[in-house]
Amino acid sequence: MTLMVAYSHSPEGTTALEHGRDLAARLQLAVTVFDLDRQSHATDRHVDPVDDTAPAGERWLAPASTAPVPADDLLDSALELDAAMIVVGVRRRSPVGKLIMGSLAQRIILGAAAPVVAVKAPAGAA
Amino acid sequence: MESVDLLLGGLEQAFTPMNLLWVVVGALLGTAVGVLPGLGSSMAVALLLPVTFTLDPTSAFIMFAGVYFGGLFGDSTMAILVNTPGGSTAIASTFEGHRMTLSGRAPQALATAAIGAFTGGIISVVIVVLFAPKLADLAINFGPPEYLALSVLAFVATATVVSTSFAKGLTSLAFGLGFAVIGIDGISGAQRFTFGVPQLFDGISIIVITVGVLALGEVFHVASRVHRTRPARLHELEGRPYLSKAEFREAAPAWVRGASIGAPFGVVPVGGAEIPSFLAYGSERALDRRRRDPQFGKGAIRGLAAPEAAGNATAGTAIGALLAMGLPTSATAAIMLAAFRQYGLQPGPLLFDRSADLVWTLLASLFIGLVVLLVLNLPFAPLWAKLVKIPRHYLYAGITVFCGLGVYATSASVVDLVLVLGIGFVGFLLRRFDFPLAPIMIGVVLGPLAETSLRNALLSSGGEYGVLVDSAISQTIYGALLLIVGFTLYRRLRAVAGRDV
Repeated sequence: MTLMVAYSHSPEGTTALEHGRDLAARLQLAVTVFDLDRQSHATDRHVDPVDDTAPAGERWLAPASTAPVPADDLLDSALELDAAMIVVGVRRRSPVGKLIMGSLAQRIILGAAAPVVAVKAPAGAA
Repeated sequence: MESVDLLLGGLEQAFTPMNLLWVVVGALLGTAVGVLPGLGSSMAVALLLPVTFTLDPTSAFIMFAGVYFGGLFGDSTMAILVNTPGGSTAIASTFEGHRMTLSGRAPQALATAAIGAFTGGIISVVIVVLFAPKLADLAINFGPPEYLALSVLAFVATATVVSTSFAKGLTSLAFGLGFAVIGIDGISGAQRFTFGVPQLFDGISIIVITVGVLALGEVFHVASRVHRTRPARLHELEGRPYLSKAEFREAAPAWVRGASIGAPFGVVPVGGAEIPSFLAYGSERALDRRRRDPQFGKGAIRGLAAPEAAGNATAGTAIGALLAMGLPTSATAAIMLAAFRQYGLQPGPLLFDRSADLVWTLLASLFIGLVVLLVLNLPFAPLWAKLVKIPRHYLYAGITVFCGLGVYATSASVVDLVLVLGIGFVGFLLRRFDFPLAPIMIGVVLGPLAETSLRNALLSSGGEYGVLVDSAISQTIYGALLLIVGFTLYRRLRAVAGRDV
C-alpha cells in the first residue's frame, strides 16, 4: 500500500509532503509523491525528485504531459496504484473566488476514492 | 428520402472494382500511417496529392477518405500497446487504453478501439448523408461576407483552441497566410513577396507547402533526435482482439455518447479530432466517478471507447462540412480542399448539383471504407503493430525520396525543390518549438478565399465596412467565434487561478 502526496511547488505542497512522510512512517506505508507542477514524458509518469532530500524508496510521479486535467490524472493514478490515502495541502480562499475559478484542492478531495487528509501550511509560510 | 435514392446510386458507382480497389488502398495506407507514431493522415494525404493527379477525381477522393478514416483507426493501436499515440487524435486513448494493456486486457482494448472507431464513423456518415444536402441548401445563402466570417472563424478557432499558447497558434496562422499571399495578386496584378523572382510570380504551389511542412518537416524532426528517442517496445500479445458480451454492453453506451460528442465537431473548425476526443474522455470520466465502482485508473473500457468513437465521428462530419460548405476543419480536410481545387472543383453548395456523381459515390464509399477498415483492424491489429519494427532510417529516407519525387513530378521545376527544402526547414523549426501545424494548413488553403471574399464584399458595398457584419448569418458566426475564444480564455485562467494546493 502506498500513501499519495498531492505535491506542488508552494508552501501548501511542502507542508503536505512533510505531513505525508510523517504519516507514512507512522502507518508504515510507502510514499508516492505526485508533483502537480511538473509534467512527465515517461510512460509510467516517473519524474526525478525536486531535490536530493527525498528519502530513498520514495516514488515520484507527475501528470502525463498529455493529460487534459492534471488533478484528474492524480486521481486516476491513485486508483491505479490503489493508494490507501491522499495527503493534500489546502489554502483558505473566498467562496466567490472558488465559484468562478474553481478549486484544485476541492477537485481532489471530492473526486478521490481513498480517504483524503487535508493539511494547512503554517501561518506566515506564504 | 431523396438522399437515400442518391446514395443507392452512389453505392452502385462505388462497387465498381476500380473504386473498391482505391477504397482498400486508402484504408491500408491510412491504417499504416495511423499506426506509425509521427506519421498521420495529413502527411499521407499531402504525399499522395501529387500522385493522384493521374487518377480521376472520384477515385482520388475515395482514397483520401480511406486514408483519413484509416489514420483514425490505426492511431489507437500504438496508444494502447505502448502508450505512444500514433497521432494527436489518439492521446486521449492512451490513458485508459494503456492501463487496460497493463492489466492484461490488450485484446479487449484493441477490439474496443476498432469497434468504437467503426461506430463513430458510421453514425457520422449517416448524419452526413441525411443532413449534408440541407447544409448545402443553407450554404447557398452564403455571400462573400459570410464566407469571410467562416474563414475568420476557422483561422482564429484553429489558432487559439488547439495550441498550448495563443501566440504560437497565431504565429503558425501568420506563416500560413504569408505563404498564401506570395505571388501576383489576381485582382490588381501587383507582385507580393516575390522578391522579383519570376518563379514566384505564380505563388508557391500548395503541394510544395503541404509536403514541406507536413512531410519533410517531420523527417527533419525525426532526424534531429534520432539517437535521443528510442523506438517503442511492444507488448507481446496473445490471442486476437475480441470482446465478451458483457464488455460489449459496457462499451456500447460510451461508443454512442462519444460519437454524439464528436459529430458536431466536424463542422466546428478547431483543428480536427483532438478536442472532441478529449471532451468525450472527460465526460466519460465524470460519468464514471458517479458509478458505484469507478473504473477510471484501472483500465476503464468506456474511457477508451468514447474518445475513439468521437474521433471518427468528427472525421465523418468533417468530410460533410467540407463537401457542403467548403469549410475544412482539420489539416487533412484542408489538403483535401486543396485537392478539390486542383481538379477545378469548388466544394460548397454547388458541388451537390454540379458533381452529384462524385459526391454520392464518395459518401457511399465511406460506408464501404469503414467496413473494410473494421475488417483490417479488428482481427489484424497486432499484425499492424509490427509496423513499428520497420527501421526508421529506411522509412524516413523513403518518405524523403517520395517528397522530392512528388514535388518534382507536378512542376518539373528545380525552384520548387529548393522551396520545399526551405519550407521543410520551417516546418522542422515549428515542430521543434511545439507550434501547431493545423493553423498553417488552414491559413494556406482558406487564406485566398478569405481575401477574395473580403475584397468582393467591399467592392460590392462600395467600401462600406458595415456589410461584413450586416447579415444574421455572419453575426451568428462572429458570435460563435467570440464564444469559442472567451471560453478558451476562461479555461486557461481557471487552470492557473484555481490552483490552491
